[in-house]
Parts: sequence; structure tokens; C-alpha cells
Amino acid sequence: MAKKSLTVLAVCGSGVVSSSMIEQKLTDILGSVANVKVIGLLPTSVKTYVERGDIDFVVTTSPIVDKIDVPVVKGVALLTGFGEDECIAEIKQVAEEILANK
Amino acid sequence: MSFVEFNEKLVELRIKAEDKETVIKILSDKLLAEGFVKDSFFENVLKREEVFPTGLPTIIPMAICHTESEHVHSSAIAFGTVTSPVAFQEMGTPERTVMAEMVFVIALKNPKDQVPWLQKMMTVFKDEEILSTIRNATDVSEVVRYLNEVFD
Repeated sequence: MAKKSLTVLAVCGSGVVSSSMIEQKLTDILGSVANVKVIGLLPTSVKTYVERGDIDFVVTTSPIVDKIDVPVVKGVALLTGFGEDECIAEIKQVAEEILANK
Repeated sequence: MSFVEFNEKLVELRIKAEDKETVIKILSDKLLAEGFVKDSFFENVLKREEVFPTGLPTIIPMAICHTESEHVHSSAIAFGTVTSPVAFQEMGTPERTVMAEMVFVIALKNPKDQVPWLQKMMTVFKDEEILSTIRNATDVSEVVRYLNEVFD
């Protein structure tokens, strides 16, 4: 069976620096279960992006003020290494639930 | 692989500073003096730090200050250690304080081109041996050589 696709928003204050850092990490974590597309973004652009559709979930290093309809995982642990295993487990769980419904 | 080289002129070890503004100013001034950033850089790094803080509770706490590329002429990275830890707010959880022992001020012109380098940086952050080596460094040229090796 072909791998399903996941589109993940990687959000940080610059839309580039820490989102780029976690981009590869997301591919490493989820690459075996899905084709992962990661989009780096600013927190203020998230709502518009999610409303446009096709976004499965969000990993962020900045607080997101807007209410959005997809799961949001805090990703700073991926940068620091502290709580990283729990963070990876949460990302996997969120991804598995989404993939199960696709 | 290293797109952004560390440079002796952009490193200051054992900065005596009471607050993050002082550290960011010293490192931003170095970037300015070497022509890597515009006059507006320092002010905008500070401004951004207020909205999107960059303190990281890594094994040895640090901050990775940066701002929009419009304030940058060409990509560079400045690095500093402090004689006593300086308070930064934590990335993602601004109500928490991180007592940073080292500070990177990152000036990126075309951040998308630096993705592999930024990803490398993330692995460096988690390496206790590397972090303690650079935190304890006393010789600028040695630490620059070391940083360029670990980022290569």
C-alpha cells in the first residue's frame, strides 16, 4: 500500500530559524509511516493556512494565539533535547490518529 | 556544509553583563562593525526577543537571538559567553525565564539556504561535551576553530 501523506506546519517566530531546525526532525520521526511535507510559517499566518485546508497538524516553538481546528504540538523540546522523547511520542500519536482516519 | 563560518571578530568570551540587552548589543555591534548587518539590526533583535523570545533550556542554557533578514547585509553568526548567567525568556513559553550561559546572535540573509546548517545547529545544542567546551572556552581563536569544526 502506498504511504499516505501528511502536511505539517512548523511554526516559529521567524517562520524560518527554529522551524527549519525541526523540519528534518519531523521527516525523521514520521518518514517511515507517511510522506511528510513540512511548511515553515509565522504564528500569525497559521490560522489562514489551516482554514485553507489540507493541513494535518502543527508543531510550534511559539505560542499560537488563534484558535485553530487541527492538533498543535509544542516543539521546543526537539531543540533542547529535554522532554524530547515525550514530544516525539506525542507527534507520532497525533500523526497515527490522523493517518487512521485518512 | 558550513555556510555560516564562525569568525574571531564576531566572538566575545566572558562578557560581564547584567542583562540580555548588554550581551545582544555587544554581539550586534560586532556584526555591525564587520558590515554583516544594518544599523537597525540590534533594535530589531531586541524587539523580536520581546515578542518571540529565544532562550532555550538546553543542557547548558542559551539564547539564539535573531531577526528578519531585511536588517541583514550578509549571513553571519556572533557568539558570546558570559561571566554570570543572563535572563532570557524561554522560546515558546515566554512566562518562563532561562538563565543563559551563552548567546548566539544569528544574522541570516537567505534563511532558506541555511536550512542544513540550522539543522546541524540543533544537534550541536544537545551535545553536552560541545556545549561545555564552548561555554568554558577562554581563547577566542581556539573556540572559533572548534566551532567551525563541529559545524563542518
